[in-house]
Amino acid sequence: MKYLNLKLIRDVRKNWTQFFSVFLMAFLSVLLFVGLQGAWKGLDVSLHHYSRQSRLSNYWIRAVNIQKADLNKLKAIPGVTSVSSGIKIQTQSGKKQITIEGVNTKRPSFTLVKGNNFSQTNGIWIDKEYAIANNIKIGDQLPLKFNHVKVKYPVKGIIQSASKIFFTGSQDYIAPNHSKYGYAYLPEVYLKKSFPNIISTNFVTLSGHHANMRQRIEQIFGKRLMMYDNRSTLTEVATAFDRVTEIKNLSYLFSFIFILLAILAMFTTIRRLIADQTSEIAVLKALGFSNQLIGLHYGSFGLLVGGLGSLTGAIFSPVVSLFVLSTQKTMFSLPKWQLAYTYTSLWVLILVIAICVLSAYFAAYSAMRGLPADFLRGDSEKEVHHIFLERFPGIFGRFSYGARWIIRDAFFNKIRILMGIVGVAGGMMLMIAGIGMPQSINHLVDKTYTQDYDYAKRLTVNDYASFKNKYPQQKGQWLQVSQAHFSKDDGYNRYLTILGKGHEVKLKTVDGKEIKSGGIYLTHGFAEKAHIKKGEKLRIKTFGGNDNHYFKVKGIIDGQVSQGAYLTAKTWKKAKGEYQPTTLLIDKNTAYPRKDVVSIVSIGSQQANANNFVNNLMGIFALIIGFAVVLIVVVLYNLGSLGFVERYRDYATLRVLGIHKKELKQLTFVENVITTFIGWLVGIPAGIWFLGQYVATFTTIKIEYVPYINWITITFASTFVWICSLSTTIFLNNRIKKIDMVQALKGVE
Amino acid sequence: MIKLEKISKFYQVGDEQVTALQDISFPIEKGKLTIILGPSGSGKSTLLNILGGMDQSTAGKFLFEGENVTQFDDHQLTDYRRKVVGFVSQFYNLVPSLTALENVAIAARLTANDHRAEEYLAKVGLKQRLNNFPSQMSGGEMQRVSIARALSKKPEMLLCDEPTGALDTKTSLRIMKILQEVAKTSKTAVIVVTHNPSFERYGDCIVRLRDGRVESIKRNPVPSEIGEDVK
Repeated sequence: MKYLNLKLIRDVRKNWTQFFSVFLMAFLSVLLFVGLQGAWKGLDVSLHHYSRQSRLSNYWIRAVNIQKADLNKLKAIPGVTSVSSGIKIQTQSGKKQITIEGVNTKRPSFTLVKGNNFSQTNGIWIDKEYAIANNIKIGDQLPLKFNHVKVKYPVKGIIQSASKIFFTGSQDYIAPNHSKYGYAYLPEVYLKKSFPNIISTNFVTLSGHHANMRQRIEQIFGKRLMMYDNRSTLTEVATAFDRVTEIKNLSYLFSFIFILLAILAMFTTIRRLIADQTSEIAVLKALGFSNQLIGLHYGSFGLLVGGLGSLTGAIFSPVVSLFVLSTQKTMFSLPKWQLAYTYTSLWVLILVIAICVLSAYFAAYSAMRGLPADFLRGDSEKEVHHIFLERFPGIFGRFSYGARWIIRDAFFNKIRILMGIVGVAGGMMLMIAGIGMPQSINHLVDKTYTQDYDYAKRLTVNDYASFKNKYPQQKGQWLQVSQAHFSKDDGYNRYLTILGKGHEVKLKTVDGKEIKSGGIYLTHGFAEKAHIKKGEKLRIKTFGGNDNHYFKVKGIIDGQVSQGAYLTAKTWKKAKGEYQPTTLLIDKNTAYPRKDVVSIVSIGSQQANANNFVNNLMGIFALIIGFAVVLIVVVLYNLGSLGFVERYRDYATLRVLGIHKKELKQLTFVENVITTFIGWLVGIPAGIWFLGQYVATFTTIKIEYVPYINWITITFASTFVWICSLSTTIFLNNRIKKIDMVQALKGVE
Repeated sequence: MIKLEKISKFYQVGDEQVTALQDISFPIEKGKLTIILGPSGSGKSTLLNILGGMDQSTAGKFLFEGENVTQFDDHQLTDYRRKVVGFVSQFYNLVPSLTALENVAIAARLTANDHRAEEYLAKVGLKQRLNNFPSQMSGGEMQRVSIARALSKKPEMLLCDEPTGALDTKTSLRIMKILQEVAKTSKTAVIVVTHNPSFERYGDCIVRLRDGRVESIKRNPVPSEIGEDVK
C-alpha cells in the first residue's frame, strides 16, 4: 500500500490540471451550498434569537377607541399569554416621518442600543437606523408635529425593535428608507400630554397562540378594527422571515442543479484520468494485487482530491455566508448577525466526497473486472454493430465517412453524448435562471411603476370630505385602501383598493382588459393562493366597517405588488360601502394644496426605493452567476476533453492516414456543434421552467414574483453557452496539434 | 529514388541522451520487398516512423524522389503521408465504428480512389466481410483490412511495422504473401519491419539493425515464394 500511496501522490502531481478541475468542482459545490446555508440559517437563527430575546409579539391589532374591556376580552382568549396596548401615530419631523408608539409598560419589547433604559420620564427612544442616518445623538431634541401640534422630546436612548426589523415607515414604499422614515417610543402618558384630546389607545399587541385568532379579534372589535396582522403578514417582521425562506429555497434549488452538474464534471474528469490508467490497472492485477486493493487505490484518488476540494470549500464557506449576510444588512435591522449551519451541510460534504470516490472506483471497475492480458494487449475494443439509421441507405449513404464515424460513435457512447447534452442543457438552465431572476425582479419594478400605475405623485390627506369641500376641482384619482377579510381567502387579510375616477391606475386583467364597474378584481397571486376563480361570488368585510358586501369576481389582475383586490368606487358605493379615500394620485401637471396634504410621495422615489430593494438581492444573483460561469466552463471543457481522450487512437490513425489537422478539427467542431445544438434546444425550455421554479421561491403573501423571459435573457445565455461549448474546440484543437502518432499507434501499453 | 543518408535520431531522456539511430544509410527500391530485421531496441520502428513521415530525424537526409523529407513542415508531412505512404501497424489501428469497407474507403477517399475500396478488400480476400466492424473480425482479417486500407491509397511506399506480430504462423504467412505480391505486381516499395528472422528469405533486400546502426545489408536475388496453400 505504501507504494500505491506513493503512486497516488505522483499521479496527482503529474495530472494536476485534471485533478484541479475535480478539486474545483468539489470546492465550488460545497462552497455554494454551505456558504448560502450559513447565510440563511444564520439569518434564521439571528431572527429567532432576537424574537425570543425581545419577546416579539405574535399578533398586532389596530383599532379605534380601544377600551379596557377590550383588553380584558383579549386576555381571556385561550392561549394568549400577554396583552400590551398603546398609541401609535404618524408624526412629521421636519420633512421626515417618524412613527411614534406611546407605551405604558415598564418593559417594552425593544432592545436598548445606547443611552438610558426605558422609563416613565419625558423623553424619546429613537430607532438606531434613523439615528445613524440623521446623525441623532443622546440628548438631542427631536422635533415632532402631529395634527398641527408641535412638540420636542429629548432623545433618551437609541433602540432597535424586533417588530420593526424591516421598517419602511409607509405603505408607499417596499424597502426601508432610514434617512426619511424612522420610529420611536415614549411613555404613553407623555404622548397623551403632548397631544391632549386628539388620540386614544389605538393598537394592541398579543403574545401567545390561538387557532382562530382572526375571528376572535373581529368579534371583539367589530367595526372598530382597522388592521390585524400576525408574524406572517406584518411586513416589518414577515419580510425578514420570508427572506430566510427565499435564500433557503434559492440555495437548495440552485445547489441541486449546480451539484448535479459538478458531479457530471467530477465523474467525467475522474473517468478520463482512470481511462488513461487501464494498462496500469492491468499491470497491478498481473502483479497479484487484489481487486479490493486496486479499488481502494483508485477510490483514494477521489477521496484525496474530492476530500481536499470539499474541505477547502467548507473552510471558505463563511466568506460566502458573510458576503450574503452583508447584502442583507442594508434591509434588516438586527442587533446581532451570526452564521449558522445544519447537518445538511455535512451531508452535502460527505455526498460530494462519496461521489468522487465512487466515480474513481467505478471508472477503474471495468479494468479491474477483466483479465489483465486483455488490457495489456489493448483488446478492449467496444462491440460495434450497424445502427437503425443504416436501414435507410438513401439517407445514411449521403453522409461522409467522418460523419458516419461521429454518428455511430454517438450511438455506441450514448452516456458520453448524453453527458454532453446534459452539460450544455444544464449550463443553459443555470444561465437562464441566473440572468432571468434579476431581470424578472427588475421587470416587476418597471412594470409596477411604468405600466400598472401612471402618476407623478401620491398624496395622502387626513379627511376626504373636508378636502373635497375645500378643493372641489382637485384633479387626480382617489384611492381608498383598507384591510379586508375575504371569504373565501387563504387565511390572510388582504388590502381592498377602491378606485375613484381617473386614469392613474392602469392595472389590467390577465386577458388585457381594464378594471370596470360591476364586480371585484383579484390579483393573480391572491386568486391562486385562495383558489378563487373568475365568476365566483365573494363576501367581503372591510376593517373599519361592520357590513358584509358581496361581489362577483369579474377578472383576475396581472399585478404583482400588493396582492389583494380592486373595485371601482361606483361598484363599492352601489353595494352601500363607505367611501372615504385618503390617497390621491396626480399626474405631473396637476397642482395640489401642499398645506392640506399629510404626505407627498413621488413615483420616482418609489421606483428608486424598489430598485434599492432589488439591488439588495443582486449581490447574491451575481455570486450565483459567477459560480455558474465557472461550472459551465469546467463541465463543457471536461466533456469535450473526455471525448477526445476516448478517441485519441482514432484521431492518431486518421493523422497517420494523411488527414490534415484542419480536417480533424472540422470533424470535432461538427460533433461539438451537434451536441451543443441538442443541449441548447433542450436547455431553453428547461431553463424557462427552472426560472419559473426559481422565481416562485421568492413569492410572498404580498408580492407575487413571476418569471420574465425576453430575447435578451435567451440570447445572452445562448451566446455564453455556445461560446463556452465551442471554445472547448479551441482547447481540443491544441490537443489535436499535439497528437503523437508514434505513441498512439503502439499497443495500449 | 528513395534514399537514407546518415540518418540519426537521438532522444533526451532525463539527463541522458539515447541514440535510437546512428548514421543509417541505404537505398530503398520500388517494386521490391525490403525487410528490416533486428532485435528489440535496435531502432527498426524509429526508422519506419521516419520513413512514414511520422517522426523526424535529428540528423541526416531522407530523400524521396529528390526531396529531403527531413526538412518537411507539418503540412508537407501530412501531404506526404496522404499521397506517398501506406501504413500497416501491428495493432491494425482501424476505426472501430467504421465497417471494413468504410475503413478502407476513408483512406481511399484521400486519393479520390474510394470507389475502389471494395476492390482492395477483395484483393486481400475479404469480399464477404465488407460490412463487418473491426470488433466482428479476427486479428488476421483486421490486418488484411489494414493492408487494403494502406493499398487503397496507391502508396509509393508501403510501411509495415511488425504486421504479423500479433498473428499466428499461418495467418502471418498469408499476410507476408499479400505483401510479397504487392511488391511484385506494383511499383510500390514495400518495407516490412520485423524481428522474425524466418521472413528473411521472402525479401528482396534484408537490412539488419543492431543498437541503432546498420549491421548488414543483404540482397536476395531470388526470394522464396510463399506456397499457394497459405492463401
